[in-house]
Amino acid sequence: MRNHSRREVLQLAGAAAGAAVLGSTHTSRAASMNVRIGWQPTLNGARYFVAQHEGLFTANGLNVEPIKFTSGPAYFSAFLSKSIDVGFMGTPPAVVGIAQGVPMQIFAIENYAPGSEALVVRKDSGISTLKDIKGKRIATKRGTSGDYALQTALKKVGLTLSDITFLDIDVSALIPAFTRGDIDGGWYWEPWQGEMVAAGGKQIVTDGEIGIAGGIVWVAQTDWLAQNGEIVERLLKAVDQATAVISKDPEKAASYIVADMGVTQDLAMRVLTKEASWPTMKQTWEPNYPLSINPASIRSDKGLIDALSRQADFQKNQGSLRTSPDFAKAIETKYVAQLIGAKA
Amino acid sequence: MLLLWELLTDGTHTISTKFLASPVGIAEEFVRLLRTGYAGTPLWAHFTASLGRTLTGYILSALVAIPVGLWMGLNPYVRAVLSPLFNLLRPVPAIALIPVMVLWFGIGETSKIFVIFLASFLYVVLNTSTGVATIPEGLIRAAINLGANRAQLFRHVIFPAAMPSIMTGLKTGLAVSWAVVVAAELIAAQKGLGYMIEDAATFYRINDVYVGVILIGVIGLFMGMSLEAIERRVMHWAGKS
Repeated sequence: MRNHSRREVLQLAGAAAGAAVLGSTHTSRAASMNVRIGWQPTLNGARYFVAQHEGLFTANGLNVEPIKFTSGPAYFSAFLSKSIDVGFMGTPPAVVGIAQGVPMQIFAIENYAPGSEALVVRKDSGISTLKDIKGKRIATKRGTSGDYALQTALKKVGLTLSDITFLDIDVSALIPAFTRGDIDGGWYWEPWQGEMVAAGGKQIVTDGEIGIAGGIVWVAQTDWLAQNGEIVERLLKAVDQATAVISKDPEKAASYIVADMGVTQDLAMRVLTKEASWPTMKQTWEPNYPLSINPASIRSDKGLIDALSRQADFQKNQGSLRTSPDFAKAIETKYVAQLIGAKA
Repeated sequence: MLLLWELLTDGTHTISTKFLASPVGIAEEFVRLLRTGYAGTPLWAHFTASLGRTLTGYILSALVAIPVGLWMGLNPYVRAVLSPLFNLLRPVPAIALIPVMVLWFGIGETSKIFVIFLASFLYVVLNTSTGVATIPEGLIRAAINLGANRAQLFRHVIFPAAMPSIMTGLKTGLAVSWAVVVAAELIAAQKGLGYMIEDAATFYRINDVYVGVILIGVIGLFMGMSLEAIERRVMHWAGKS
């Protein structure tokens, strides 16, 4: 008799745990299904990290191959070459990918993030309200949610991009530039928003406060999504179970994020409990949810569609995109519908 | 080859233009960029921004690296001290230095030029010192026996003998400088060909990416050819010992 390897034992244990947790028969099947998940180090993708650490993917009969990316746009080539199956990314890169014909579709919502992106400024910048940024050096990364937020905020206080010194800065150079005083402030997402505050910065306004909050969506390669319904269902189930961990034991969920991303426990807790929220699949189906994927919301251009279309229009006005696509075709809601027993 | 490329992409759609842009698509995009610029900046401004940074960093590196390299080649003590440091730095990718460069020099031109300077410097210094250290002992002894003083020895023997190796260093340094400009422009650049490629990738404007890559290739080729022309003129004695 051959010995079982450590991995096999773990997989068997996971499958057994899965059967126990779910009490369902089909997940106890020995053969687990393979899925390649593209992930990126963003605190807003919390459920992915929780599901990995808690063994929820394994428990649902999934054998996950994680593939790391540093930001959403990096997934595009991977979807085109079919080197990943699914992944999560912010709404702005999802808009760009869909508009540029990358074969990908949105099939679920990961989170809604009204507070986990903000304008943070240096204390000596003389900025205390949004209006004060006139004439100051403000940074963000073009094409990101931060870019969209900054320009929307400018419009809100009657300013344009030419009223500030705009600096296109990648997160890799942000904290040194902020610490040295090369910039007066920046509009970035977590963990950089928290890092700027930790470096002595002052938070001025969040995306939610100017009414344009986006979030993180789950996307999949279009062909793969059509052919792998069962894997998608299992994935959604695992992600839904991770929601419960975040709401019941945020300290534990935060510790997983700390382990994967090297941020402080305080910052992880702040994002998990205050700045963002992780909806159950059922909540994302409610028509009045901010990023609702209810078919009625989609038909009437509300919820997720509204958020996507507004970002696409913005990119089009910027000249970065030439088309504003029909997003309804890029959202596949049937798997969430099946999971929660609703009508797609 | 161009024709085959066009046939496979636009012509027969054997290869999707999402993977490989078609020559006509790239040419059209190039004309459009010439006319309207990229991200509000004219194409020539992206080009001159990159070229200016590269040449500044490169020329500074040559000015410092040749004397340092000669000194290292002539003095074994200096070589023993500096050589391990330079050998340690050479394999470090420029991109890994970005956060440190911003911390030291800020987000302005200095940090970008320094990344280019450093990359080129390390190659020129290596070739120069090796060039001097590998001059045949007999050549130097012969000159000394003929009564050459230190200055004459350096001017008439060591420098000309090390020149082909220095030239190789300068050629490698120039190629490296131009290649590194893309990485250097990740440091909060607001224009430049590297910046354009990076930004176009963010928006998946694949034709713009190809235009940028081709421009960088063509300009690099042209720069290499110019340097070789200079070499032929200045170093007519190379290979004829």
